Amino acid sequence: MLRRESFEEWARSRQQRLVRSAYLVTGDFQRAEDLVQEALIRAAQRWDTLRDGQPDAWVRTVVFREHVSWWRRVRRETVTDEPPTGLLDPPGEAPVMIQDALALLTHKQRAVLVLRYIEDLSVAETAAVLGVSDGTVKKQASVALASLREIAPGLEELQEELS
Amino acid sequence: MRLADLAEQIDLPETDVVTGAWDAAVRRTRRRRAVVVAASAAVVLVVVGVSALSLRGEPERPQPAVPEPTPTVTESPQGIDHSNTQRLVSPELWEGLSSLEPGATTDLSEDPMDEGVFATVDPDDGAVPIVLGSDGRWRRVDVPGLVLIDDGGGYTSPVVRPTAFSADGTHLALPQPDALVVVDLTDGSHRTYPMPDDFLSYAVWADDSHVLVSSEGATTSTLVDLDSGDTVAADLPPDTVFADGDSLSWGRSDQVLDWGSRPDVPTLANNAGGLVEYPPLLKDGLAIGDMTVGSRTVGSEDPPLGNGVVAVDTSSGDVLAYLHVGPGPGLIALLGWDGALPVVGFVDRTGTHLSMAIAVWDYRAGNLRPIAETSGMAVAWRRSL
Repeated sequence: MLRRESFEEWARSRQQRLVRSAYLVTGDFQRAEDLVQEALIRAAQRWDTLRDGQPDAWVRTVVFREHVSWWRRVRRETVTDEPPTGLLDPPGEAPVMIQDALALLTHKQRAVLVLRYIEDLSVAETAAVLGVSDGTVKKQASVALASLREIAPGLEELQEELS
Repeated sequence: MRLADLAEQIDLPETDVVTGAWDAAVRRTRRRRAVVVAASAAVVLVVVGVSALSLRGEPERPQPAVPEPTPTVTESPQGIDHSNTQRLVSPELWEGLSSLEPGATTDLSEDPMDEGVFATVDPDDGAVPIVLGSDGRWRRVDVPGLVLIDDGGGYTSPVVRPTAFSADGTHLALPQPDALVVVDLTDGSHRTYPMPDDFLSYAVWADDSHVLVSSEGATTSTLVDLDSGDTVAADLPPDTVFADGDSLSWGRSDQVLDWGSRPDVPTLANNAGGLVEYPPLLKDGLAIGDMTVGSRTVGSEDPPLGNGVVAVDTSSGDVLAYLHVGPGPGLIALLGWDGALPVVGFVDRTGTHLSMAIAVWDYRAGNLRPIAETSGMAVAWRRSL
């Protein structure tokens, strides 16, 4: 198979999941697509070496680190119409509630939650993707889950992770 | 039910981020090769030039030779309503700039300086400051135990901030996770002011004997007396700066800016963002802040984010001028002062220019005077040589 075909076949099989994860972290679909596309372009540049390795992990790392790089530059400028105070209006559909609840977490907390509990990475793997220590991942995950319990008590079904 | 199961139920539109990715990668690779070839050619020319000078017996000159600034004026784009909004960054900004890169360094403790004029960090170790002295020579700040600035959440950044230099250029203030470290450039000594677990992110000179420090996310700051070592909790927000004995708190003030092309979209300007995050600089009634502009609403069809620097009259609070790069790729960082005018750095995120262009921003005249380029991204500027 040609290099380009090989890359595009792999990328098309992964893009929806990558964009979904990026969207959960950014809360912005356009931004999520931009992040994933940038990561895919970089992957294409080094496809000869990546294709036989772990391109999924590599691209995921690029997406999350690029996001971290982005929000570190702009962390305080993007504000919502309403400050994130008080509880979400229950009841609501759980997917919508989790989407809204994630939006009220910090970027760091969101990234850790998505990697740990949606991408199902281990603490060590999450730490490696974000370039932080295991302790930081544990701390951020703990704080994020506590925040979710507080701001979205309607998510009672999430016993496994929220308990 | 698990979070992963819920996430799968979120209804997202179909996406296609693959088409065009390969072609974009090919174009990018070609462009980078072209830049490398051009840079190599430039290096060859410089080497040839230097060799020719040496052969002619010219005395060795201190590095770097910074040329006299040449004013360039680029017209602001049509349609921007605010007369004080300037967008002056263009590819021409990089043309003919001298490279401001640390050459051979000596250890500061063995080779102190009268005053520092420019600071960056070791490209291989962001915890080691490299300072250009007024004598044109580079020193490595060999203070043992320095570490990267740590925000306490696991994210780190280089140790040099734009506010590092004291007004007279004889000292550097370096925030550390558990202390403030002040380095005396005139003898290479340093003093550590312990502040356990405060994860200092900001260190701003208040006067010759006081430094204001604060941490990311903190709502107050601390004033450190450099003589006594006393620390006093200052009932001031971390974006406070001092001038002439007065204090100023500025930032996050909901200055509504106009993007011109999208006047229907209100945007907020905050004292945050840029390459690194730091308080505004203050001098003679003028505050220069690093600002990032974003939209009010997450997820809406708002204009792309952009950032810039703003000049504010400290007595009236009026925005005198706003210099920005957005919408579009690029970043502006506030680096310091050159006389009465602010010095700013520009990064071209398209990859066409791989260095930061440094320029003096004459906010009154609306032009930029390019000074030099550097590959360093953590930079403090005090004055030209």
